[in-house]
Amino acid sequence: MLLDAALMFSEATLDLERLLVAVNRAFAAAFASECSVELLEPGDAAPGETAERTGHRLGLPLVCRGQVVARVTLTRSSSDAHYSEDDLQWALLLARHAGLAVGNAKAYAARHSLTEGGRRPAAVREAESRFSKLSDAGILGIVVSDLRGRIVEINDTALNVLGYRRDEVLSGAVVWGDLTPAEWRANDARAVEQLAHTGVAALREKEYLRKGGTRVPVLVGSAMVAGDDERLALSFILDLTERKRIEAANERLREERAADARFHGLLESAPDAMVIVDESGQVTLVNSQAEALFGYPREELVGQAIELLIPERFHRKHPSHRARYSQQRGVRPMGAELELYGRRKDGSEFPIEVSLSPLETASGLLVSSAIRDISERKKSELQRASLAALVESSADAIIGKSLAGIVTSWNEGAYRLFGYSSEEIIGRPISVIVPAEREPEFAAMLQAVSAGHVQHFDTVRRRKDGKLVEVSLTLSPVRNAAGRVISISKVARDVTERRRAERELARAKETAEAASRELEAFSYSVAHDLRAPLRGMNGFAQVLLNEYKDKFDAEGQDWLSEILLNANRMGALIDALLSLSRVTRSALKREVVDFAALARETAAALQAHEPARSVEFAIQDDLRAEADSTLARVLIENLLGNAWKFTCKAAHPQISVGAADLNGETVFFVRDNGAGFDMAYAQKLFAPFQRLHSNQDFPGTGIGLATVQRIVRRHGGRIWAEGAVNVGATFSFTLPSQSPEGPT
Amino acid sequence: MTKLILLVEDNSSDEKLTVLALRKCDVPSEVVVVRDGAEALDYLFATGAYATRQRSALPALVLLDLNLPKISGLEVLRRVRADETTRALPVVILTSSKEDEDITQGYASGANAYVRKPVDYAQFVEAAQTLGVFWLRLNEPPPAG
Repeated sequence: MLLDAALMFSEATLDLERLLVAVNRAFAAAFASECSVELLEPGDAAPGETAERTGHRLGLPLVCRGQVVARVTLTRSSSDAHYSEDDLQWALLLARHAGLAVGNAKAYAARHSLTEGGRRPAAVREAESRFSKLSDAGILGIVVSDLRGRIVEINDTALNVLGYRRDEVLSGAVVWGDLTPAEWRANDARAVEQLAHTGVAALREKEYLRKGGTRVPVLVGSAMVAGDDERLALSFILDLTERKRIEAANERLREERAADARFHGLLESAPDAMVIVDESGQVTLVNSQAEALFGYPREELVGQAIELLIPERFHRKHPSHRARYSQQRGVRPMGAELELYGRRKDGSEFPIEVSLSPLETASGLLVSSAIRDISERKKSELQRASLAALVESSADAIIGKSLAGIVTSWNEGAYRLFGYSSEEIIGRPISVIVPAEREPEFAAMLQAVSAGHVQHFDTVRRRKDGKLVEVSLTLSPVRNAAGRVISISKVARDVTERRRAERELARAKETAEAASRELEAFSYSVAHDLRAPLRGMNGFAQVLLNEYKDKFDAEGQDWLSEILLNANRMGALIDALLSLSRVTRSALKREVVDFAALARETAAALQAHEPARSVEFAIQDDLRAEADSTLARVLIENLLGNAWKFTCKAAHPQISVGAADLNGETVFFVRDNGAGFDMAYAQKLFAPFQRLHSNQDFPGTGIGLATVQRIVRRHGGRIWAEGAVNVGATFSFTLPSQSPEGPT
Repeated sequence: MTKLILLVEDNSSDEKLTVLALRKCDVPSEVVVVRDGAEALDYLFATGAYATRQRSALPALVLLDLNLPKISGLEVLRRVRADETTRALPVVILTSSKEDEDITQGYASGANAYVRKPVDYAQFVEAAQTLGVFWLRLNEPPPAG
């Protein structure tokens, strides 16, 4: 199309009017545009006027030998495409030819008006001389040949294009047709035929063989002109090498741009944050996901070192990792087995997963990293792992089953409880562990849980070995996201042992209660029935002694006194035993008790009972403990009573009551400097009826310390004694707060 | 004027010793002894073996053991307190029990006093004399109903 135009220019070279029409048509046809051509006189235009392209409008100066001779304006309707850079380039090329043609035609017209009536061949010659001048421009090659293909005229430009010297061509050594490569000859033949018939051959692209055999792409158009003696063919040759190069470059550019656009689209549509880094570790490209993930706008990332996005503690090693990747490039996850972290703009870190792929580009190796924030995944992985561990390590059987009762999961606890391994039971109905008589219950339960109700109940299941096992079951519905029950999770606990223990405990408790009742009855009868005969013995001996005294001699009276004494001692023993049994039987009511106050009261009572004795008491203040107040009183009365009793022969009796800290535990003590005891017998002290002193030396029942020990033990404490004969004794005890009742 | 004391006691030794001790009091008294709770009630309400007794002639004091055959001392006490004619009768529990439970129940059932029988006879005589003086001489009995 374009070359049709060029041909028209050449055909109408010297007829300005026709030329302008041709130019107009050529531009209009070539660019599918409205075209106007405005002829300019010298002075109408600025010498340096240039082309301008603005959307749907293209303005082109037509220049001939440095002068703007005309202006072409192309206009497209707004619905059509904008003028492209390519359009402009082509238009400029066409404009150069048109400019020369118009310039020449103007010059010819000016001269022709001076030499009116010149012959047509003379005009042709004139034109030929003009053609030779065209070589000045160095753009259009012109060859004039006869119909046999002999070249009669050629300009320098054509010679340059073809690579021959003028003399080689004009001598006839070079045949015009031979310059056309074989594959173009058929096409050429049609052009020659067309030329012969119509006088014009359409412009066409082809190649010529240059001297030396290389090819040159050209644009060729021909027209018949009348020579002096015969008709000659005038051919225009336009070297397209440069044009092709530009075209190729443009094509490459277009492709690159399209590739770039595709690449950007790809980058933006990637699900992950993409960061593309060059070989030096500089960020060259990021997508918006990367901006969002790291909190940096694009412009703060591009050009920065990739280490910006990595926590500082990894900075030292990262460049060497990068270097290694350059050596062994390939698509692979980064830092397999390593925990990777990204750093946001605000400094916070998050776990990431990175996949690397190399991009070989003209400007070197780029590495594209797809970065994924895996915080959520890490969290849920951890959760899943710990839940799985929990399930697997649970002592309980944890079983998953479908609504139809098919086992879908089976933990170690289930294996231990029911004897089936997960391999043998998964996929089988859970009913294999349901005893026949429990089937109705099982069906009802399955229905209830399928309806969404959590079920708790105690029942019996059959183990693989056939043994029945008592279990406590919890069945929970498992729901999908829509809330529909999709399966059942079941926790089963073996309660055979617990049930057995419960039964045993109940039995033991019953036995203990019975024993306790018996003991109570026994104590009661001790109190009443054992004391009654004593009262009789004592009473009648007393009556004898009082009212029949004169009937007995001194010895007889002494023996009666012995009866009285023994009866009284037995009465005291019974009282002590009753007190001991009360200590055991009564309920323990803990409250804060001040042993210091109790000790002072007891000391005062002892002093009041024996006012003649002088004992030095040292009682610490504020000896508080949590204890049963009644028992605490019995405890302190016994210990102080003992101390009082055993210091009766000491020169300077001293009794101290206090507390000390022993390994973080409060230890109360009652210390005296009395008769003391031999440590060899320390263990015997607390046994009932065990005495270390004769009744003559120190009267007593041998029950007091046994009672004290029971009181301390009921409070969960310990009691121990230290002493030495004639040096004194120390009784120490602890009363832990809120401990369960110890053995009694 | 001789006061009547009803002694409810199943132990013959205790009975004799009690009578002996009461005899030592300055207060002239006559002691009627019954051996169990049922007999005590028969006496007080003039039923059974005592049906011929004049019911309105009530003792000035009842000394009541707790641990009795047939009907326990506490039950006797409750029935005495439940009956209009005997409601105001002075009843002293005389027992060897020192159990808190017994003491509490004794008072809750309407005992006027609770005296523990000591093993030592001298103490026992002292207790009996104190009782006699208080209940037979100082205490104004309610008007006979």
